[in-house]
Amino acid sequence: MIYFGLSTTILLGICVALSLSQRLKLAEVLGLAFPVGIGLQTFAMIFLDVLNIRITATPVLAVSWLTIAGLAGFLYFRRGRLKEWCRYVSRFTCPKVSWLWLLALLAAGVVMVMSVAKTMYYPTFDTDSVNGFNLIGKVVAHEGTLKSCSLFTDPNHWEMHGPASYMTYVPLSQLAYAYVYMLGAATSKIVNALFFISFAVAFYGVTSRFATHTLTAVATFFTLVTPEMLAFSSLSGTNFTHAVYASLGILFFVAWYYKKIPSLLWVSLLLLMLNSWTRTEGVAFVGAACCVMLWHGVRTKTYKKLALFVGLSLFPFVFWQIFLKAYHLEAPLAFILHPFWDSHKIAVIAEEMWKLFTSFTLYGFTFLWFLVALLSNVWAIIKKYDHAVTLLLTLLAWIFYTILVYQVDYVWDSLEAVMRSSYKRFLFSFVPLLWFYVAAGYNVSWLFGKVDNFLFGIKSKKK
Amino acid sequence: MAKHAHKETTPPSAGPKKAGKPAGKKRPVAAPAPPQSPKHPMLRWLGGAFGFKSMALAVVGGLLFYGAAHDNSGYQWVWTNLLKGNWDFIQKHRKATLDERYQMKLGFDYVFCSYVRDNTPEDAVILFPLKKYNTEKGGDYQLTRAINVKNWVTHFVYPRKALYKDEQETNPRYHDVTHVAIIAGHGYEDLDYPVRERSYFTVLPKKAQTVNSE
Repeated sequence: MIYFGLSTTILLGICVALSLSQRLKLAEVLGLAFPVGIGLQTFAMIFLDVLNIRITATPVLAVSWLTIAGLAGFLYFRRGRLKEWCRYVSRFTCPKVSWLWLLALLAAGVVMVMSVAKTMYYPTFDTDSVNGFNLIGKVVAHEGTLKSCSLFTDPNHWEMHGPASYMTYVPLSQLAYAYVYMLGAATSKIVNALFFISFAVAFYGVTSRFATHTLTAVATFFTLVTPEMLAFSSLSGTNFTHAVYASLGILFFVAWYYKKIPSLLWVSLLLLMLNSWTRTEGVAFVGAACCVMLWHGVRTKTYKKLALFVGLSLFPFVFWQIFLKAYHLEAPLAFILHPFWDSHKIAVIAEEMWKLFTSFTLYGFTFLWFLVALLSNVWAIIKKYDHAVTLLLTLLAWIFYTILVYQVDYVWDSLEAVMRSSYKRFLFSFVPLLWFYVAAGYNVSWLFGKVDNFLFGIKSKKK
Repeated sequence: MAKHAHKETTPPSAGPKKAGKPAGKKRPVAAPAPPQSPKHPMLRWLGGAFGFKSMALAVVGGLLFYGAAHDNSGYQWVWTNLLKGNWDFIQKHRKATLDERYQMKLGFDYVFCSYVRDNTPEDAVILFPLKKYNTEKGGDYQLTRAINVKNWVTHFVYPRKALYKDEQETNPRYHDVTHVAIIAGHGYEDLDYPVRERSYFTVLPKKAQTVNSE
């Protein structure tokens, strides 16, 4: 049952990804299949709950298969979309690969296999998951409802209505765990393992649009091996899952912008929607994308597209707030809505942020290499606007998130502790973006172009 | 090799310059050979991809990374502890059951919760002692602070319900208690019957149960 259920998820993801764009690379389709499939299934689960239909494996699978059938028909009959994609993929040419490419890919593969083995071996044990995400998944799978789940409605669990309660967290991870429990899994760790593998494949796919294969493999390896992120990828917390959606959403947005492939915008939109369906603070990425979209929309006068993008990208966040209100799943608001000035708070945030950015133990070479790439590209950024949008999106998302952290009233924990836990983990979403920039930025791209010429062709071309 | 072959097939007299000159006797002019690449494209690709230069680059790249990562505590930890350490451990304990894997990570806290789960009915409401006593040592064993987090305990005893004696005044479920968890010898006072043989950690029904003997 578990294999059938997960195959359904992956097939659903493939159908949705291909329906959105026929210009996706094979690696992108394979990498997006699981995250997109499971994300949409959690949407289906919440709508079933709203319709008072018990969330069990049968209706979720039925909705999934109906969607698959509909999309497969759409892909087959409507304008030969499937054929179009097959033609696109069949234009595949042998990538310029080298021993370095093979070495980096092999190293990334070893990291992946060892990490997935660890993920699958240990059951859920991290505190946040045992106390919250995995527990909610388990209970939803048993009781068939989220809105009336005993953890939220039983007076025995009165502490669930306190500030920063797990109840108020957007439910993608919880429902994804519920899905595998419903399918009969003993633990929910297969979800985390599949997210990790999918991320590696999709990141490789989208980065290879901008960089040589050798460089892409090296960037993928460095992204995967980022110490703190790798450690958290095998836990059941929501941070790595969020990093997958947020970073891929932004990267597809960048691919849409620079490669001028309109359909990639909708792939990015879906991923950004799922990003704010995984963690509420994901709206920082949505906000960044909306800002760039606004600038682009006004400049090109594509207001309809702009309105659709902004409206849909904010939908999960707005829907969740309405859901919480409608079913009285409310907790005291810890967010300060008015602007204020607190120099002590700013000093603490700045100090802790500096510690994080300069920590090689937590993020390896990520920030160092990003800084080196950024400084070396200053001329290209100023003169050629090289990856200005990539940098702008990264910067805006980071600023928005830091403002969110500043605006929260931490009654349940100290600000220092929040910076050392939540903020530290939120930076996972930026790690792929920074490595992407290192790989795709002007100078490193130029350098690896030279490497490719040295290996493959400049001599023969001159002849 | 390829250049040599090229010379052999096109003699010097057949070059384009000489072909343009009027000759007394018309000699057959060989058609200019198409520009030939020295190797088959596939071989050239393989040569570029996996040739000496490529190998040298990989060695240099690998050594550079190794040299840099060797001094980086983060990457060192990733390899020695997170990847290799766990991999070796997993290979050694491949056949561990799910319960054993939980125990490896959560220790006695999990052992106790799973004991409570296995010895109570699914609809049980279990009373845990006052939180301040729950981390005391009982014999050779001691629970950690995790036992004082209701959600943590619920994760392992669900669908049973857990509550603490601290909630006596606030929790309406307090009156529905069916079982009492004994932790470090605390909790016997909440039973409706006296117990002679006492152990440090166990779970007992709140009310004395009558045993039906046939």
